[in-house]
Amino acid sequence: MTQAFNLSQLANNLNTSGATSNTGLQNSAVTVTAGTGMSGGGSVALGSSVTLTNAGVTSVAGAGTVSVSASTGSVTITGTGGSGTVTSVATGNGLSGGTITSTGTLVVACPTFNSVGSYAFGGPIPTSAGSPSSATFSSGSNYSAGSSATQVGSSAVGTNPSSGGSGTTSSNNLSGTWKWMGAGFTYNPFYGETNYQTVICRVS
Amino acid sequence: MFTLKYAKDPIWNSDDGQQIHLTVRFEEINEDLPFNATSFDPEPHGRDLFERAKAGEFGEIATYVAPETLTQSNTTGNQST
Repeated sequence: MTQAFNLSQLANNLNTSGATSNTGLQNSAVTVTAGTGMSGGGSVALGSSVTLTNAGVTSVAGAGTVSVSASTGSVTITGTGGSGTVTSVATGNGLSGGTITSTGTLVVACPTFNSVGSYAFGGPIPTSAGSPSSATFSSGSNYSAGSSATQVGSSAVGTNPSSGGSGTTSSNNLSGTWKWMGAGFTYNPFYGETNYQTVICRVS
Repeated sequence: MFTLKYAKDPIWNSDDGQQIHLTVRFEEINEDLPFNATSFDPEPHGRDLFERAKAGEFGEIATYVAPETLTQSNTTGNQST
């Protein structure tokens, strides 16, 4: 099939220098779409121009202990280190001397009785015979406070100058979990062997 | 202050209603611990555990088993002599 060439129509779309105008082209414009961090764009005719603008980071500035080598372009960010200031030091259980806000001295102090981190002189204080027939306490192991054969209470020992005898008194007045800080042993609660005491430390 | 992960097996640990024995696991100590939660604990986490256990949060509290009375006093003579 042969299509006739319309010379007159072609001539109408040529300017005086012989160039073709946009109206003579099938696609006379392009669309420029701005991506992330850019703005502008849109449809623009061939031969025209379009401007895209950075809509993301446009400038970088340092502040405090952070410095920058430039505000635009290639930027190097450098941490110059800090010199934070402690404004106060409080004292927890087992320490005294606080709260310090300028200068001062912290001193080791007696912790609150029965508090975590406190020590006590204690051991098993069963008030009963029988089960278990044998109980073992091991160095560094943890035991609950209480009055059963496998728990610990606080104790005190003393002597009677009149009789020359010695004795131990105990109290079920501890809470939490205690670590056995002395030598390990196995005893028989059945016979009321309740005078095994050592230093114990509350762990929780 | 300790952060509780779980507590279980509550049992009354005294006959005065002031002590409950539990097995507990704290975030800060990676092992189960025997723990005597009491109303008189100077530590807040201990009193909190007691109140929560008493309220039944960790299950029904097993009955306190009163120990048999020894013929020997709780104040005992020195057996090492």
